[in-house]
Amino acid sequence: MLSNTSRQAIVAAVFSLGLAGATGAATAAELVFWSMWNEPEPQAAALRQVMDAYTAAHPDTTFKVVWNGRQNQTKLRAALQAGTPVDFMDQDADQLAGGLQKEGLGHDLSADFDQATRDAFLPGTLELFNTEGKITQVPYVYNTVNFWYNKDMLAEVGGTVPATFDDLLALCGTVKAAGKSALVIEGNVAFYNVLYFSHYLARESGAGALVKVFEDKSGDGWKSPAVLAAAKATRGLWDQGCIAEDARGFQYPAGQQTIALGDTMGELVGSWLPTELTESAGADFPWGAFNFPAVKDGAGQSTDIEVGLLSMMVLKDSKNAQEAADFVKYVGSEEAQKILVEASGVGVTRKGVAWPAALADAYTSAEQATALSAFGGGLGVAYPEFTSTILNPEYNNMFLGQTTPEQFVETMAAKTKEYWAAQ
Amino acid sequence: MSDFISARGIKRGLSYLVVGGWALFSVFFVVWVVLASLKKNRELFGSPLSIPTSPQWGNFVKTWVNNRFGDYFLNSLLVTSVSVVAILIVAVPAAYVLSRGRFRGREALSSFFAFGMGVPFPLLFVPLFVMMASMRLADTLTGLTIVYVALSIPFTIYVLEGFFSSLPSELESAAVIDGCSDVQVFRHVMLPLAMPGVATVAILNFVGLWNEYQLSLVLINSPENRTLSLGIYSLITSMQYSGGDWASLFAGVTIVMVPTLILFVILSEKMISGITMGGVK
Repeated sequence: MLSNTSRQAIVAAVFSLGLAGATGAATAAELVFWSMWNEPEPQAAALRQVMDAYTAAHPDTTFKVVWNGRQNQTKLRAALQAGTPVDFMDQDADQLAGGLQKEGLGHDLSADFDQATRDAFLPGTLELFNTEGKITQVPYVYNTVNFWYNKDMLAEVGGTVPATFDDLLALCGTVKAAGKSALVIEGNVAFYNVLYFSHYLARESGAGALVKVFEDKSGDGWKSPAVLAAAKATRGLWDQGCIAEDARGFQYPAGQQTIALGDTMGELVGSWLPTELTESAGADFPWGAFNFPAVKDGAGQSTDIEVGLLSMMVLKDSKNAQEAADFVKYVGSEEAQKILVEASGVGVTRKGVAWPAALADAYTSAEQATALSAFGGGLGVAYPEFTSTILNPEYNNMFLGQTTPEQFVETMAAKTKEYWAAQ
Repeated sequence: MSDFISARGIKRGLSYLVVGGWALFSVFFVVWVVLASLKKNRELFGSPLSIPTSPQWGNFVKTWVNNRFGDYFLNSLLVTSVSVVAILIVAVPAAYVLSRGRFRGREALSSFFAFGMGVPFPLLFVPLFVMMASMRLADTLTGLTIVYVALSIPFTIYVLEGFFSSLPSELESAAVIDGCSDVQVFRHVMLPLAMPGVATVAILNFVGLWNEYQLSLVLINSPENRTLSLGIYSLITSMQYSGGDWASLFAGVTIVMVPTLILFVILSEKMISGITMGGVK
């Protein structure tokens, strides 16, 4: 038999617990984050630090992370169809743009990013994948595409960074005379090799030229003299001895390893190369980077760059969309971006946050960028299927000498016409 | 006669050449992977065909501990072993009944199982994931095991049916005359005779499931539930952006190969006799 006092105490305790529970449910949020990183990777550790810092400042927000690895978007699609609750995720920005974003599964973050916040991003990064002015993905890791090279080798052969394509050809001769090769490629990575074409075309006709060529539904865009010139000039890199003959047979990562081994000076690739080669080249390798040089009388500038951004996206159906948006905004803050640089050695998207020493030239390239395009001229964002099944293999065949530039142009014109006719 | 002998000799010589060449090719790559797993990355690409100058056993430690291959190995072992046992428990009696029983619909049932082998797995990804999620079995090793068992049954029954059909029916009749029930005939007479066949399907299923990638990719998300094939894939994909530790990758590949090789060494004779037996009716 309970006394009145005991009864009152129990009722008060139960009421208090209920109230506390109700209050907690209203304010506390456990954000579910599906990530493109694997748990042992330094980027995952860096993001974990960023989340811990956020939770320390906002104790009501905690995180449950699923470290899915690079297949994140693919796995997420299946999970979303099964009704799995996920608040936000990350992936390569161009894959997101052609994937979840295109499918309308991203939460609109435009209202969360005021002008000051938008201005804090490096030029063009926040806007590159906007659709109709809406921000649905927020880039937080920045990779630029440049010629990545061994600075010591350039100095040893007495060369200088080329300002024009002709300078590049001259440099090839200088390096060759010293018994080395200026450039290397991976014969089996067509989407790397097509970078030569997309850059040359952009230097000739301006940023975004490749997409414009493809969007001429008659296919005649490919028949413009600029396209043939780009195909011929880039194929000519072999004739000029810029690229070692045996590189045709290189399978990734054999090509890039020749830079680490000191046989080749550089490669046209993303700014992830120094990280990828750390194990082989050593942490103190003298990395330098320069933009694809200008083309004589070209409409494009050598400061127009291609980029490979990694973005976060809040999912439209997230029950904690506001909390997730606040966190994604925090990832772009100076504090969080510094953690990312220091803990994982990546380039980041915020102005004024210095990148690691090996990526210093890439930061300059990003800071001075006059126009941004997605990897490979951006065609893969809107037309991923055509890019991966037609353009990349056809260009690679031509680049490696299996077809002529003229045949490449004819094939692309015909396939483009076919593509649009089937839409 | 001598023409016949020399023709036979040439044929045999050619066969040895092809089989020997194939064996050499396979052994070369297995040995190369093992040697590569003991090198430093620079040595691996600088002199790919050399013997490691100072073996880097640390590559295995790094892969086993840092890349969590120890966890993945246990997951794979658990899922594969349980699946193979469950497949045999279901498929062996089923195949026996389908091959020896006489009942209406037997042939249709056999064809139904055979049809199951023709369904491409990718077509099943979404329905399987939805079903597993609705039963709260998505992203669990139990769910993955159930799927493995279900999808392996058609093939196993198909192979074992052929086996049981090849066994002489006189033995079965003799056992019945001696007073054995149907279950006893199966348990004490036919099952022991079919053991080479059972060993064959056990090995084939073990190897297939040990290396299975697509279904586990779709059904498993949490790193703690990953199997070895997912672990290898995550190592390969993390080469981009995070750095290429190729020697550790080859250490991982070596770890994946070991159980399969051991199984072949122990059971290869049974398997070969099983395959030969099933082929002669």
